[in-house]
Amino acid sequence: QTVLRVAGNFPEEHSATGAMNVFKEEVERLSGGDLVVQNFPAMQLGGAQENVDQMRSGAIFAVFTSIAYFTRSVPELEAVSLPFLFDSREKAFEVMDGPVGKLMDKALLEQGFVNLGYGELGFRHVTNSVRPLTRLEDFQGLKIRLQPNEVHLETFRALGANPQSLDISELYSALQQKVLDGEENPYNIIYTRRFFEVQKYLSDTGHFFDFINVVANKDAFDALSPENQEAVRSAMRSAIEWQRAEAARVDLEFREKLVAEGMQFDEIPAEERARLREATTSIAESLKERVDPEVIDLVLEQAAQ
Amino acid sequence: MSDPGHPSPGPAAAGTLAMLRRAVDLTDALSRWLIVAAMAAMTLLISAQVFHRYVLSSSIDAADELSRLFFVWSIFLAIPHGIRRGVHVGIDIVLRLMPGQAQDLLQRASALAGLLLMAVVFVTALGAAADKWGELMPTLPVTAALYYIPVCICALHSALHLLLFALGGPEIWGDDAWKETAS
Amino acid sequence: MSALAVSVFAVLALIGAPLAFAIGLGAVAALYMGGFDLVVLPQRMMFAVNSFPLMAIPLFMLAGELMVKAGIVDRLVSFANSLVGRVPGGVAHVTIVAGMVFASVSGAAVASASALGSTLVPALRKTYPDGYSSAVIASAANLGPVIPPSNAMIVYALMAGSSVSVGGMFMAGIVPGIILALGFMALATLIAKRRGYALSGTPFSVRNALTETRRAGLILMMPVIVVGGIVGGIFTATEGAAIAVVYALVVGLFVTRRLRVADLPGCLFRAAVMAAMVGALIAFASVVTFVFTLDLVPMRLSSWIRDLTSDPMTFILLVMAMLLVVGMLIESNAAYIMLVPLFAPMAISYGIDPLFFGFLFMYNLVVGMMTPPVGVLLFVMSGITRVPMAQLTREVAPFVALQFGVLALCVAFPPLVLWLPSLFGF
Ligand code: NA
Ligand code: NA
Repeated sequence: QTVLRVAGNFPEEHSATGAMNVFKEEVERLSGGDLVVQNFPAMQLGGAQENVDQMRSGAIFAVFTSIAYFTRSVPELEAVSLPFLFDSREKAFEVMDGPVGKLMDKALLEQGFVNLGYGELGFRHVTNSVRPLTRLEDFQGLKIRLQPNEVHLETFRALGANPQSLDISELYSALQQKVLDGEENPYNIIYTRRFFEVQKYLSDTGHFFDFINVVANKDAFDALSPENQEAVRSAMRSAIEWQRAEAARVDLEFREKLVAEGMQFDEIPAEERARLREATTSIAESLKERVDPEVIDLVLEQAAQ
Repeated sequence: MSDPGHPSPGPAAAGTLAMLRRAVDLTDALSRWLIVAAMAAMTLLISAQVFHRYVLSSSIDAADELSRLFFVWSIFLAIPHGIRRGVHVGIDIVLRLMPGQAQDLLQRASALAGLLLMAVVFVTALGAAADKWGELMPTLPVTAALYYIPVCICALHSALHLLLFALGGPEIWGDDAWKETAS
Repeated sequence: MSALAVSVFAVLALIGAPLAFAIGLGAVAALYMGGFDLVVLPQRMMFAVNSFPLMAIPLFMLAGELMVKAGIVDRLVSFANSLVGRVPGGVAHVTIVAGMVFASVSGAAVASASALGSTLVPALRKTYPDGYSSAVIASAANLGPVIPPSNAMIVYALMAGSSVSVGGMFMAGIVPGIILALGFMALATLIAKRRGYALSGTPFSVRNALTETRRAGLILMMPVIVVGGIVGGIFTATEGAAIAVVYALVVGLFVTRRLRVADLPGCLFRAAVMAAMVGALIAFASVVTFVFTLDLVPMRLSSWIRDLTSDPMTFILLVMAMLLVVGMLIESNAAYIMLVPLFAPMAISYGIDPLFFGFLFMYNLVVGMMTPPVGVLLFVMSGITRVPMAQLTREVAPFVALQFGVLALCVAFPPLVLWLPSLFGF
């Protein structure tokens, strides 16, 4: 019997945590009990960055987290984090399941990471307490909290906003006191963090699409028998398939809940979305200084098909 | 090591022990300046961030991350100084019931236990730093292993102090325990 | 695994090893025997310390250091003396009032004790024996973590996750803190009368009181700005702490003019060393928490307690009794790291207000800082006045009893804790 310890940083009720359970059941069934999975969801073993360090060092087998935690080891991943890249989640997964995904997996493998699949964290949308966002001009001067990531910060500077970095634990009270005007997250997180209590306007900006990925330690994975490796890969395919369907199903539910809580929801018209994309095209160019230009061109080409 | 207020002159250390004591003292002086610099940088960065947000309506992208980095450095570098001063609290009730000789022996034994812990921390922290070498900090183009380096230094420096206690006894610093610069 | 960790810890702690090391070695033994990769040791240690909210701790300590060097404590003492100097118990009242004001800017009891101790012991020595003085100073210093800002509350809120906010905890401490200070003053009067201590201090005059209030004005504004800003959400606790540092620096350099630039390295260094004591405990205790999680201790403990009682009040009393013992034996910061993640969620599932539970939990451990054998404040005071621990323990006994009395009062009347936070929308 081999014990596989798997960590995750999503809350108990999140679809990624559900996927961890699907993986456990499937892998134990497929390996005939030869592999035993111990899941540690909801940051039980520490935050996402710490889980990644544990997995990299081989203290745990695998981690469910956002690809954002790998971009500083594998910069290629930043190419799929470009603003206004995907029009739909179907497109996003089509790209990730094709040659782009293969290329990313290879880059991850070179760093000692076996990528087992890409799930959905979701489109990120902006909320704020000042005005409805429907046009490019509406972003002007808004103080918006962003994750500490260069592409993210540059994107909002290009849109004319005033990006701020702040720990997520401080965010609610900063919004409440109007120290900041807005923030951006998937609907799910806007709801579970109760930002609707302190934010009036919600727009479907969908400016970034975030992927979840499941990554295993290469040495630990290689130490499994070929049959067990196949069991792990196959179980993870089921888990990821389940997670994608579940995330898609609940995404709109969360948006409806936010509206039911009293937020004003505005759609970005197609021609304005085109202007937003236009305003941020320079980001891809400046990213070419850090990331192989061929990778970026491939991603842009695949996403545009 | 729980009663910082009763320093007495340390034993007249001689030979190797005296050299070790002197070496540790110099290391402490160097480390003290690193701590002062890290603490000052941390304080300045946080203050500057507040100033930027309220007065200039802007933000320093790396302020949060850099200030945490300086904080981690300050804390881990300062732990060995706490050991020297014996400010790390312990239960001394059993200790005080023993005769002087046994007290001394037990204190040296617990210094050795601490030394063992620090050795494990040092080796594993080096491993953690090496594992993380290829990863950059989120907002800065420098290796994220910088977070683990103070843990390595802390373990090594603490081990030196504990070795000195194990060899020279708990009173090795005497009245010099609280002194802040090398003599 | 967990049993091994606890056994190794207990043995090492009993032979007098520093608690942080005893905890660390217990965790290492457990991880090693459990076949877990020891690399999680430095990873846990680093990530436990690498936290923005925790940065408030060295900063509040630094603010305290600067206030001592800037002569701010002296001004507070003159101010308190002009108000309560002539009341029976005189200088003891001065200590408590000055302590209360100092507490409202200092985040930590240890920092308050060393600040008040180094400034007030000479004055107290003229009237009182050192044992009694030490007890009064330790008690006044223990107002530090109860009256905001408070490092203990910051650590608690951090460990409890998003269920309580630092601002809410801060507001919760104000009313109990004031009751406690008044109680200390009543107790000081009682003891002074019974033991026939001579009157001290200057006779009260309105003019003198006004002058001293004006002199202390800028200092009295400090808690309004710092605590007000944090509670009002204008800045975070960490940023508030940095503002306290800048404020103390400006007052020391330009108002009292007692602070010199050459004092700064020493202040920065001492603040770091004091914070490192907390940091070492947090670092090593978080490894033990990891071991407990691997062993599913939280789940087992909560199901065990659920079987024991389903009544919220019984649960609170049970936890308070446990913390009383824990407070004697374990340094409070280590206790927060190991116990808050276990008990805070359990309290919520019993339907107890998280803020109410959080305050009681923290306050109980704060009192523990004055109970032997592990009482950090006793160590500090014994260090300053050289009063033996046994005598100090006897002298603080009535003050400790009073603090537990206020705890019982808070348990019996939750509005004492919750009224002010609810007024501010927490
Ligand atoms: Na305070
Ligand atoms: Na105690």
